[in-house]
Amino acid sequence: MFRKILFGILVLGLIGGAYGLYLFNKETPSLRDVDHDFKIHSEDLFSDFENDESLANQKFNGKVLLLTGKVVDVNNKEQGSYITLEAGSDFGAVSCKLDSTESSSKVIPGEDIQLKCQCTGYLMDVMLNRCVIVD
Amino acid sequence: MKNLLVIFALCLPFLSSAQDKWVDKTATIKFESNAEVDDDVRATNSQVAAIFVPDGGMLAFQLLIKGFEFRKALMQEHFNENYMESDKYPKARFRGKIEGFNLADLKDGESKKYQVSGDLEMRDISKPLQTEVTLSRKGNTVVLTSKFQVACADYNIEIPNLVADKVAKNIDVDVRAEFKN
Repeated sequence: MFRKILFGILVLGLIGGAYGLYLFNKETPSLRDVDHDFKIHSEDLFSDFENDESLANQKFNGKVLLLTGKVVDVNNKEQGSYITLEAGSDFGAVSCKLDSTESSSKVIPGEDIQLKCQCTGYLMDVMLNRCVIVD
Repeated sequence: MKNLLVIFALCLPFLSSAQDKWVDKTATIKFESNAEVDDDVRATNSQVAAIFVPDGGMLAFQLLIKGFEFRKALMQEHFNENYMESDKYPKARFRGKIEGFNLADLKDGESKKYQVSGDLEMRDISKPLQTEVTLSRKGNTVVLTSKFQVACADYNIEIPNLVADKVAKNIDVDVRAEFKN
């Protein structure tokens, strides 16, 4: 009986340890495989942050957004690609950093786009990262 | 006409100062914890807002803590929730001055080292920071690079005993900005 209990504890310990190791080493998933929390237009998102940054932070920070908007600029740099979306304001924009697995080669300024991104907050622009292009 | 001239004269200082600000909205700050046990504690934020005013050598950086991307999801979660408390303290800032900087001394294609002194603010705590920066000029772009260390204790970042050998007390920080006029 004692042996069976000991064996059971050992098995549970091994399973727990393996699961802990799996969680610890789990890589940040692509947002392509994650459901969005909010669906919003880039101009409405910027307006929310411009009107009340604290409230917008509470609502959007860390959340996954399905974002639509007009492309203003595409900037490819050594550290990654950035898509700037229209904010409907002269004082800022919506800055989207693409996930490292994404390519901006088919993104054209002036055209509408749909992106899935994680919102990180507001500096001069509303900032989003880990963006994937949604067809 | 006279009113127009007055308005123009009033706006002139603002117009000239606007021209003198060199900006990079996609500057990069990386940090790495080179602890006794290498546990891959490193992250990159490539959406740092940086402003450089050559006249006087003023520098300002601002970033969102949630903008740091880690390879490991759980590490990113712990960084935001337990160490930096990024919901409570969402931003970090640096304001400083490049000592003895004169844009005319930095020729096209040339690199020079300068001393920067200023204040680094995180978690509502501001501490003086002095470091060396390298500036190089390529046409109308000035590239700034710098490496320095930040002590976790200076910003009340508590490291639990359980991971004390995996998270260094002093974190290595690497900065790169490309300022365009």
